[in-house]
Amino acid sequence: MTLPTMGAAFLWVLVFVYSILGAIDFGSSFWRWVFHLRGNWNAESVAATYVSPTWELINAFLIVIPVALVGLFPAAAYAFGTVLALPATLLLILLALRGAYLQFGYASARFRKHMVYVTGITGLLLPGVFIALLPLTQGGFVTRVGSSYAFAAGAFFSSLPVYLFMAFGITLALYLSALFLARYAQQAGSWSAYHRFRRGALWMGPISLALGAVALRVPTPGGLAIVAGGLHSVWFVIFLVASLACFALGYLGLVMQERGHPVTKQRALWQLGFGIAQIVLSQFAYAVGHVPWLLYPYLTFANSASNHVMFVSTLLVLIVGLVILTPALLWFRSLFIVDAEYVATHAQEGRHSH
Amino acid sequence: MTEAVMARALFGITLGYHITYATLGVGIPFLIFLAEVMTSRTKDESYRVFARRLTRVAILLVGVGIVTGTTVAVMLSVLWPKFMEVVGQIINLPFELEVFAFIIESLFLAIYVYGGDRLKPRARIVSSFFVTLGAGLSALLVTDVNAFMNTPTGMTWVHGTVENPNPWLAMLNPSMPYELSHVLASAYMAVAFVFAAAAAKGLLRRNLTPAERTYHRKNLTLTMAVGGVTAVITAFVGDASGKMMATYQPEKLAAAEGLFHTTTYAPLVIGGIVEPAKQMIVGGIPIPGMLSWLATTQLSGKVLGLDAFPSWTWPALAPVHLMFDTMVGIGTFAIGLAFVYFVLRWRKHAWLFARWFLWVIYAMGFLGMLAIEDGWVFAEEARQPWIIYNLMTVDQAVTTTPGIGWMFGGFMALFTVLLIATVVTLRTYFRNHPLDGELAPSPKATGLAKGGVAL
Ligand code: HDD
Ligand code: HEM
Ligand code: HEM
Repeated sequence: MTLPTMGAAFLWVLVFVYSILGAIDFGSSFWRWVFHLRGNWNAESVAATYVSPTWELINAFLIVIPVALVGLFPAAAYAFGTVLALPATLLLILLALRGAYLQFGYASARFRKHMVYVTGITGLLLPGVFIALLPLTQGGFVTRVGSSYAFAAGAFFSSLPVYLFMAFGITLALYLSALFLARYAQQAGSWSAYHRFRRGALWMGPISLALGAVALRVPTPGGLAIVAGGLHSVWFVIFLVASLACFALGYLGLVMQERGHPVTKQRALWQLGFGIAQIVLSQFAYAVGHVPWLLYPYLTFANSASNHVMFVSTLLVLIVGLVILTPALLWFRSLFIVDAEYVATHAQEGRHSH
Repeated sequence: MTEAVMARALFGITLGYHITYATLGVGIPFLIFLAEVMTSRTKDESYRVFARRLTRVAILLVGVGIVTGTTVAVMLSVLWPKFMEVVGQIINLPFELEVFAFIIESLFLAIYVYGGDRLKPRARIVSSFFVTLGAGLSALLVTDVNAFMNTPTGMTWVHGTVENPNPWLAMLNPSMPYELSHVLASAYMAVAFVFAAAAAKGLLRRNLTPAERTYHRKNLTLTMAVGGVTAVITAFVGDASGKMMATYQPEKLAAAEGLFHTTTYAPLVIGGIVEPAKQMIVGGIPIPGMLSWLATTQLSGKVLGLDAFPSWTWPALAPVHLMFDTMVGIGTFAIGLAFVYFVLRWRKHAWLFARWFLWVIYAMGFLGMLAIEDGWVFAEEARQPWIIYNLMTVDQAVTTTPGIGWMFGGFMALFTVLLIATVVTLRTYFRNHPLDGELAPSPKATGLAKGGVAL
């Protein structure tokens, strides 16, 4: 593996982790909003318990991505910085409103309702905005002018594939978060909530799968053809098939349950595990189709890499830092996130307050 | 407005906004830590109440600080892409390390907050210490990038590209020790005075119960002590920064002091309007030889004037001089105020709780934060037209994307919403949790146990 490829692989790992954590986080606040509107307090309080203690750490993960990009591939940081002015504004405003309202809502009862609405709506939109970066990197909307780049915002925002990607991202986030919250409800022993989320996952799973398949097949004008290109590689096919198999297994598990009945811990975990595996594998497949482009057809890993010294220091600092902090994060997670007692008592508390 | 001016305005306002939250996010954990130490030392529960109320404020402000900081981080790449391309080749390590400082900060904040009253006193001290450490490090690490922009080192600059990079040397640039310690000391100072002002405001209220009065008095003394000590440190380090400027950024010093001609026995001119056309300061108070002494520790020292530099690299002279004097003036005033407070206290003088004196302390809370903003605008503005001193100008760094006006409008609307909501949230919270109730024996009434969910 060459150095730039290693850097790109590292960047991809960051994107994996963020996309999964983010999808769960965003989707959960959407589900919370939905169940708030419907008046289903059991399900709402399960979602609320998850949403609260995690967003700051997930946000820290988001920051690592642009920081790593700047240190590893500064030429790409330059290109994306130039091109993304408008989309990034949109993204930032949504993220900022979301983070701030989470804080306001917990600090003061007066904002609690605003919080549920703001986080719910932004939680719905954000995965769509994030995933729109994929068709952008696939090319067709960016042109090089001299030493700079220009973004065809009009063409981008009126392009069908872009909206297909957005719909795909949103439904995928809802699918994954529903699986996650179902597992959470299982831990709290809240069966009505469990079956609510299970039903959500039953709907969202196939919809997101279909949207994803279409989004990747519809070519962007002048862009990279992921599927056609990927099919030349065995790995692409292997990852794709494995991903579909995971989906099928997880989904089958979901279908074969009786409504209203308790499920075992293992079962809830397996369901979630298959969901995550499916996403990770399909991201691998996508990556194979996308390699070696950072921004098609201008920037590859190799031609945008930083100088050797900076590249190596960036990789070292980030990897060593994450390795050192991971035990602390896992401990934190065990304290607040998978601690069944915590889930149970806090879900309970939410129920009383309504 | 040109796009470049608009970009600068947008970035300046965003950073100015972030720095308000960030400075409070650096200073409040330090006060919480001190309050926890005091609780365990004196066994006085009122410090615990102080820590608890501060924690509430910290949770909210740190949360919004994270939001505004994320905005700054992305905006940096979007508005100054050429600059970030250089950053990526030489001075990205501080940004990378900063992320870990954030993680430490939010991790320990979560432990401190969720643990709440269940934590043992020692665990509270340790966790609040790590929050303080994480917050301090995040501030220092970004500031280090700014120090690099002032005094770039660790590379050779060949026609706009970085060669022979040494990222660690770039981090250890000449400004670094001075700028970092000045920023940290001034943050602790400003925040201490903010809470001194809050205590003074509390004492100004009519119908205080005796318990409330002692609570506010203790806090006032604690925060004035912290503010006084850090104000002295701030001034000393600020003076050292001035000497560093004389060596590494002589043009900035000349602009700050409105010194047009290179001279020995250079005077320090306090206040006054710098008139570039007349090449002099109109209406200031000159102190002969003082500037030479400040810059070189010798009255006969030679100080470079603006005439040593081409006039296209001069920053806007009149505002820069006034901003510098405002910062130094506020610092001096703060030292004086803390000194007077402790003399009055030692003498048990009646003025100590005179209403006018409390109003002065109240005003100092705002002046401290003003000095922070003012100091930053000075530091940035006096570096103009350079974004990286002597290497890259702001105009070279700015984005080529049109439509900054839209961004500007969007962010101004966002910041307005956030500002109003922050104020309303804090007000409602403290209205619903009056001090009276918290000072009462039952700690359960504080809502912090439940407030544990508040992250
Ligand atoms: C409470 C806030 C505060 C107070 C009272 C002072 N400062 Fe300050 N100063 C800052 C807050 C600040 C700052 C916001 O932290 C700055 C902006 C950029 C930086 O590095 O620190 C700064 C920058 C700054 C610089 C510029 C460094 C550079 O641009 O490279 C100098 C020379 C001084 N200060 C000197 C002083 C002196 C002699 C003071 C006398 C009391 C003083 N400051 C008080
Ligand atoms: C948080 C405290 C800071 C404040 C309040 C602040 C303030 C400002 C202001 C007001 C401007 C606009 C200057 C002008 O109009 O000429 C500016 C510009 C800028 N600042 Fe700072 N700054 C801060 C810290 C930093 C740090 C830590 C960095 C780098 C990591 C930085 C990087 C820049 C850049 C890149 C620009 C644009 C170019 C320029 O105008 O010089 N700033 N800042
Ligand atoms: C170019 C300049 C800056 C950038 C890019 C930046 C970036 C950020 C980011 C991304 C965060 C959120 C981190 C998270 O997700 O947890 C943040 C928070 C923070 N920033 Fe900034 N920042 C800048 C300037 C400053 C300055 C000048 C200071 C202090 C003097 C500062 C102090 C902090 C602190 C203490 C936090 C933690 C949150 C809080 O306590 O409010 N930042 N910053």
